[in-house]
Amino acid sequence: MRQEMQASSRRLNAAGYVRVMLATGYRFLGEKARPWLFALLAVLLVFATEQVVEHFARQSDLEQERSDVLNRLSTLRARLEGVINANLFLVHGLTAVIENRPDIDQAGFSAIANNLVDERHALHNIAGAPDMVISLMYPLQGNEAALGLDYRTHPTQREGALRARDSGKTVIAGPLSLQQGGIAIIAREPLFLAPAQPGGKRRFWGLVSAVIDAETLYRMAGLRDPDLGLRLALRGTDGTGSHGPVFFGDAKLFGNRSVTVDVTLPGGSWQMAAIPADGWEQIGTNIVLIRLMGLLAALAAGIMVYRLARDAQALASYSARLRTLLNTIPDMIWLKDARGVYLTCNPRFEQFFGAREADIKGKTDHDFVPADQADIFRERDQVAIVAGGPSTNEEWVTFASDGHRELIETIKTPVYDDNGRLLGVLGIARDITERQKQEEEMKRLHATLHALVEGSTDAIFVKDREGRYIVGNRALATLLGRPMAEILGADDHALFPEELAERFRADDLRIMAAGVTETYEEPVVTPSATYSHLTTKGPLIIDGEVRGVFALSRDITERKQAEAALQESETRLRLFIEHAPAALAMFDREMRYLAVSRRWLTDYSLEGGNILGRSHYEIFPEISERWKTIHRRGLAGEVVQADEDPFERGDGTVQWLCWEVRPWHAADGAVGGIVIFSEDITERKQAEQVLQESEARYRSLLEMAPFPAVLSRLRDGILLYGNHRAEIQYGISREQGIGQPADRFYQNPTQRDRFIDHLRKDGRVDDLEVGMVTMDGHPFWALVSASIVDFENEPAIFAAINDITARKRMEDDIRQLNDELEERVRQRTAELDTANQELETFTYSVSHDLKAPLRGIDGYSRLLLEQYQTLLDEEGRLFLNNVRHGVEQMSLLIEDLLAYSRMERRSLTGQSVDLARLVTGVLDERRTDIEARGMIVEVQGLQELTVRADPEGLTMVLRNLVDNALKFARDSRPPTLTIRGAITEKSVILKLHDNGIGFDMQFHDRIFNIFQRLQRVEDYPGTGVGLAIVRKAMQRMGGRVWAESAPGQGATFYLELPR
Amino acid sequence: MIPDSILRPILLVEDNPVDLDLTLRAFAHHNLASPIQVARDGQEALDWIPRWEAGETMPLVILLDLKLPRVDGLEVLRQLRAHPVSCDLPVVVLTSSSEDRDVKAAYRLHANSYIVKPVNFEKFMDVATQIELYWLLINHPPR
Repeated sequence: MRQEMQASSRRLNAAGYVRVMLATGYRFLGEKARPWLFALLAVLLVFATEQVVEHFARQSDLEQERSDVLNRLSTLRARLEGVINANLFLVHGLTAVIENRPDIDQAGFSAIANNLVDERHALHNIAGAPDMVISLMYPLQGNEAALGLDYRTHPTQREGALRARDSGKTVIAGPLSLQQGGIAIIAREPLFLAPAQPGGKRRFWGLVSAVIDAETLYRMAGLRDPDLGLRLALRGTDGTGSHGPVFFGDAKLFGNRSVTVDVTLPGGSWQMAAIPADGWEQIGTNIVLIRLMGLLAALAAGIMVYRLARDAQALASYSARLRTLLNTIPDMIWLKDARGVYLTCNPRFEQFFGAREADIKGKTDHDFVPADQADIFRERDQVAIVAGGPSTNEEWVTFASDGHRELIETIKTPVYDDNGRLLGVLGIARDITERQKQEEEMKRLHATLHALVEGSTDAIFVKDREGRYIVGNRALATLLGRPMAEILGADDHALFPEELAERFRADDLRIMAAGVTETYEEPVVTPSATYSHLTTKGPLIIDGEVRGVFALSRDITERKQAEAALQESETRLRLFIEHAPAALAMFDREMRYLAVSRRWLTDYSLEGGNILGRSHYEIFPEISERWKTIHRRGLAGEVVQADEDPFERGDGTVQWLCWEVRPWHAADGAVGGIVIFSEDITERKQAEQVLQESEARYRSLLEMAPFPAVLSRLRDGILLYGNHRAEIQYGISREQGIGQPADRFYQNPTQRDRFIDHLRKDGRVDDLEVGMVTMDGHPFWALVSASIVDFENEPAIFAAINDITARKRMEDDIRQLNDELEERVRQRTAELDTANQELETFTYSVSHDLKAPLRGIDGYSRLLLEQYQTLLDEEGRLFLNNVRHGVEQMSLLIEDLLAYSRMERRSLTGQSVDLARLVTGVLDERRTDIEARGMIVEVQGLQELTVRADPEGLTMVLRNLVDNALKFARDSRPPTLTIRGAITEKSVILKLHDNGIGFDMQFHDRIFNIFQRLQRVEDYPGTGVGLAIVRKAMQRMGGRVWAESAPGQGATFYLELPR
Repeated sequence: MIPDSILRPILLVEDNPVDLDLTLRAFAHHNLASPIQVARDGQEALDWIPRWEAGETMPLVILLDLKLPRVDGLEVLRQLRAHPVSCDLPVVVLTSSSEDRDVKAAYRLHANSYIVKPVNFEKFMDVATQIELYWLLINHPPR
């Protein structure tokens, strides 16, 4: 099926191709010239074809002739080669003879040659050249001149001769000019003799050469044959073949379409060329025939093409008009064959498929639309075919070109050829979308009207000229209590009581006559009830003619009843106002009394007269402008009221009024007037005033309080009151402050939350420190005391504020001062540490480096005394001993200074020290000295005495004091030392008393200074550092030392240390 | 009986020429056979370590001053103790300093003894004698 489709499409394409070609031709060549030009083209085409045929015919003839020439030429070559070979055999024969008789003489040579030469040989002569010099010759006559020719020196033959000798092979030379005259070809054969003994070298004898007369050779080979029928040429002198020069015939023959063959020679070849003697042949008769037939065919083709082109032109013109028609028609038109394959279509249809006609042709619906739709199209085709005539249907389709949808009406008609055979189905489709839309619009409008009429609660109906109901809605049926079927077609007489029906009819007739629409109220009586109706009735005019009446009739029974009810209610209201137990009056916009209560009349002394309808201002001409303004505001829609309004009476007394002016609104929403209510509250007011005065007294107390006090609502923190000091404190005026949220006066709102929490829990807060800010954001610190109070029936916070900013600032200053002080101490300590560090380095160097030279001085002094004893006199030895003594002093001094400095630098620990044990330890150290001096040492009251001290430091102190006692009491008999301990509240005092020389109390302080001595060194040796160490150590341990004495009375040293 | 230790030398580390001279004299005084090797600063003393490693005879004892040029005595002691060849070599600190911190530092670095050089020559001689006697004759050194 598919293949068939393709085949038919190919046929269509071929037909189309011819058309297209012709059409293109027309366009290209222009209207009038067309058939003629096509004819001319056909002639040229056929003529060109004839030329090609003729060319090939000629080619064939030429090939035949060349073959002939080649055959004849090959014969000539064979003959030429035969003659040359005969001569070569001759030479070869001679060499065979000479090989056996190398010393052959002229006579022998001639004899043998004579036997060998016969008529086959074109020989000029034959020569033997032993050792390359010609000495043998046959025939000798006429060739004597050649005898003695030395090949090695001959200008033209030397090269060929040497080539023959060196190659050891026969060589053909020439044609060349002979020395003895004539042109010849020379064949030279080298001759080598067998070696004298086996295994030796072959010896070169010389050359044997045959000189072949060139002309004889040509003749013998038949080259000069007059009936040859060929023109010949030879080239390749010396056997050089096609490369050599031409030596026979016309050199032009080579390359002139000639036939060539190679002539094989020993060691080379010649090339021979030939063409027919009268050149290559002439035009044959068959060629002439071909040419004649070609011309006739071209003429016939021209005439045929001319006719064909003319017909095609006519057809194309008709086809183009048809095409234009199809292209411009706004309907889709297409033609499918019986199988549903598209044959053609117009541009409108192309849009539907979104493809060009060329692409649509040969395809089916299935190639362009969804399968289900294509099936429907195909089904419709079949319907038309079965019906045998046009078949119409409507359908929605989507245009592939732009995706829009159209409702189309398609007419499909089967098409038959002249024989009544089905060709296919022609389709025409028209866009009926708009038409369809209008129809639908009409339907919708009708439905809308129907819904409108049916939905109305008003009865709607139409009657014809005769008064019969022709249209009626549901409301009508409901009103009449009858089904619509009974109503339509009936007239009023059938539906209403006689009298009413007559009136309706009269109305109808009047309206139809006047042609005017009327609206009026009327009673409608039905079997069940009587209604009041508002009816609009008008003439039914169709096409300018009154055809009946239409009517809309509304049931207004309820409204009528409501109006009646309203009237009743108004009466009741008036009564209500009149008897209201307050002064109440209702005015219209002109301030005329509409209603008034009796109380009003009493209050304003208006009893008796009828004031309704009269103006308020007329009754009270003295009424103040203020009140008139208030009335106007009320009339403008505002509610104006005053709870307490003083009103000075004529007699000077003050009347207090509570009043309200309120607008009232008419049915249309506009202000219809005002209602004034007023109440005399003078008595209540007087009672309040008494209370207020008492409150004011308290308030002024609070107001003048010498501290800020505020009152704020507990619920939301809104400030309710602040006294005079509070205003100053917070920088607020009363108007500004009241109503502010208290939050804004806190530096940190969470502080207020904390404050409130406290307050809720304990009911009060005392002296809470709070960071606050003034109205303009200036911060301050406050001490707040507060309690919850009841204010205007709500819990409120009553707080007293104490500004403590100044105090806080002072505290901050002190804290900052402290910080600075600490920082300074830190700096000083650091400086001190540095200084100590330096001092330590210094003393360390002293201890190390100062002692070394001393040791040297002492050492060498000692060595002098020892080793040079004999060289020194008494005085010299004394000097050296003094040197050594000085060194010893110096050494002691250094040690003491180091001890002193150590005491200053050491970090002393404060630990509990057992005094008794420590003192015993020191005395044991010095036992040797004590015993040596016979000193009596007494220790008392140290049992269980402990002090807080550095054990080493205290040992140093005691050691020095014991040494001191030993030194200064040495002359006492016996020296004594008493050590006693005493305890006080916070400290322990250790007392050391000796019976030494003592000192004057004027020096009691100076003795502790470093280097301070009271005695000469030679009397009491020492460095003056010991007591300085004592005082330093005591200071460092947090204790003190002092001394008491008198000269000659001994000395007492006191040590006081913390317990 | 003269112990074989006699043949082992004493290494004296001393920068001060006076002290050096006096010390040598003090030792010479007793005519003991121990040869005396001298290092004039800390680095020279440490330079002995590779030589000992190479097999040279170890000294019986090192007499080490603390205040030395280039590398000070405590550092020398620390390195001697840190090195396997000399970690158990007897080292006697012989110095002018009687400062606590020197004493403590020396013992913390495992000095075998801490002796303060006396200024008085007789006492100095006495100390030298004691050292010689003790370390050369009485003490049993590690091998």
